[in-house]
Amino acid sequence: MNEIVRVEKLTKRYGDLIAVDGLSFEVREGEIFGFLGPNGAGKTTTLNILTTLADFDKGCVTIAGYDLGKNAREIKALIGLVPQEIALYSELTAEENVSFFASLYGLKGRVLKHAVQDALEFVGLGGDAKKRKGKMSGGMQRRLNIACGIAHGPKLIVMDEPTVGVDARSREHIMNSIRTLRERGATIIYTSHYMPEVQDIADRIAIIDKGRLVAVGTENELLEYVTDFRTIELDVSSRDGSALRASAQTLGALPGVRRSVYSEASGMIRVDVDLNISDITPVLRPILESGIRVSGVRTEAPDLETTFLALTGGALNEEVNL
Amino acid sequence: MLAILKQCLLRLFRSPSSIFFVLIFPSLLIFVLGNMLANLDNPDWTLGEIKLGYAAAAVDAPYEAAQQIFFDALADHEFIDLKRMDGQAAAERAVNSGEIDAALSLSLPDGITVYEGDDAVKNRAVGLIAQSFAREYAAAETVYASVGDDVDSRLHGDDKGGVVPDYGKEGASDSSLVESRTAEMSRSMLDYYAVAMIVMIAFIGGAISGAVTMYTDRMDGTLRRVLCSPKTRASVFVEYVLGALPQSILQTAVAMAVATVFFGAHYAQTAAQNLLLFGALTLVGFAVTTLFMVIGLAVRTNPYMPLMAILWVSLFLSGTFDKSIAVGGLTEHMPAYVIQSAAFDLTVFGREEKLLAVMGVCAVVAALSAVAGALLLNRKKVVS
Repeated sequence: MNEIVRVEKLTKRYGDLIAVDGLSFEVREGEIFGFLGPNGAGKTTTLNILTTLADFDKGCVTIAGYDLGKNAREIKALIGLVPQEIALYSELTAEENVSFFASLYGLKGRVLKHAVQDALEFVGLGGDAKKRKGKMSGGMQRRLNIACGIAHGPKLIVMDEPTVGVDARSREHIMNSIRTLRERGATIIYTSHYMPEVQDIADRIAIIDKGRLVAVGTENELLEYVTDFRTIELDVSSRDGSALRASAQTLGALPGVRRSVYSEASGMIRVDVDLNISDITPVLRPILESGIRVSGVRTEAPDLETTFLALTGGALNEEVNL
Repeated sequence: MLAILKQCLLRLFRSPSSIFFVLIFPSLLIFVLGNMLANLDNPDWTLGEIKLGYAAAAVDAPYEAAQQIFFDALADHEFIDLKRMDGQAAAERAVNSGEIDAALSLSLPDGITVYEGDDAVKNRAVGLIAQSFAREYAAAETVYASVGDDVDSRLHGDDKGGVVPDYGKEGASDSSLVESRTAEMSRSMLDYYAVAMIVMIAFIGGAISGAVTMYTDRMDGTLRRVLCSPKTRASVFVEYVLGALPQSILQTAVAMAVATVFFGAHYAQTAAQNLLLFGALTLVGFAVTTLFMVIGLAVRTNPYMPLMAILWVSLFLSGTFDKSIAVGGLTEHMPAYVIQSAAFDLTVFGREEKLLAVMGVCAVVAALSAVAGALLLNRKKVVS
């Protein structure tokens, strides 16, 4: 496959802060490219640069053969943005919102009308064209947000967490829509805080941290980065989060333990131990002695989330890293 | 090509807050004001006829001149029954007996004594008449001090050919001395307040909609989305600015129409001047909107509350709410004051120069704001 995006040694500074630090990667035409990184990793800055919303200090970006520094206008015509926020006008109907954003790309008359109808039907809002944003559910608004970014038929679609806050039905609809867009020939750069979603949909994934590229490849290629440890998940139940965090910290200091993380959301302590540790009793002992009840223990081979943790040293979303 | 302009218009007519500022707020303000001022025009009491006596205790030349002019005019007044009394004591007796309502004893240049009757309202009216006469006398005294002989000759019609002008009759003033200006329309307080309120509406409506629209579009991500399109950033801002124009036109038209149709407010003398006034006030609203759009691009917090506070204080200091509020060296330089003065210059005196100057300044402000907005939008960190 040909590359549609090439980013070379991209650097962006905000005063003393280096948001993007010599980042290089390429996106192939017709693929769904997952873009992962913890908060503050430089994802949004990179996406802002790709969509011409932000300048960069050093490096080179080419999109569909156009140099971003010189041909921003040509590049803009090829890109569709689906922002993380629901960027729609409350006073306008679904149809008017899509029509407005598509018309900014020069569509008019019958072409515009058909493009609007197609986009609305594509996201399953064909029957809600006359509804205003305020009258729509969160999931419908998310789908309309996507329709506004794709109606003009972009070659490259940048989707920044397009499923935030949607129900399972809308999420499924959105995921299927994205696959269909790929089948129609569009290239999609996709970011999400929801790891299984990226695992499920992306052809290739880039993990960035502190403005640098940590790893890039297919899911299997990424998993190969981490082959020398396994993960033990302890299902703990206690209302005292600080005690659980303290216990996780204690575990982290044990010999053979690489990392220990308590996740408040899942009620789990995840412990990465060296593969040569066959007896996990010493790992369980400090927890049990502290009086914390362990209702389940599971061991598993590294998954993408484990890989992400191992590579970035931090969790993707709400987990607390110790 | 004008997609943003069309979008701005649709939002204007569908947004409850825009409808409030464009249609309801001006109408409400004029309605409240119109009713309030209409009541002010109604008298609290009926004065009726005043039987007024006057007696001159001492007479000097300025008095004679002032008396002739003043009392002749007063005698012509249909509500005043004027009677010359034979001295101060007779005047006092006539009041005490109820023969007349009040009397003036004139001992000029020493002073004027008012004999008041039982009717407090008539007493107040007579008091005001006495004050008016005192001013007339003071004026005559000043004239005498400078050109006494000439006044004598004109009063007495001597052999120099002087003629006594009959100042007491309407339209008989000596045109070489007095310029007569007839308004040709019955003015009410609303004529003045309507203009003041429209300026206020232009400031508040323009500032709030300009700043809040831009700030909201920045914060909800719609502006980012627009800027991702191939449109140049300058053209994006210019279309936003053009989108604000219908609001300025509408809010001025609504305020002027409501004040006229429902409360009979008058503005300038001619249709052309009224059109000029409408254009000027629209341009004021447009310039304010454009200027505050730039502010909406620059601020990091919702500007609604701080702006409201600043605008009300600035309008208060410019005397919009009460003309007696004036801070020397400040009020006369406040934009609202300058614009209102220019508008009154047109509506009351028919002079267009100041308002044309205001329009020129507003056009420059709007143009500079559009350039500043386009430049600011070009600084990509505004939206990224």
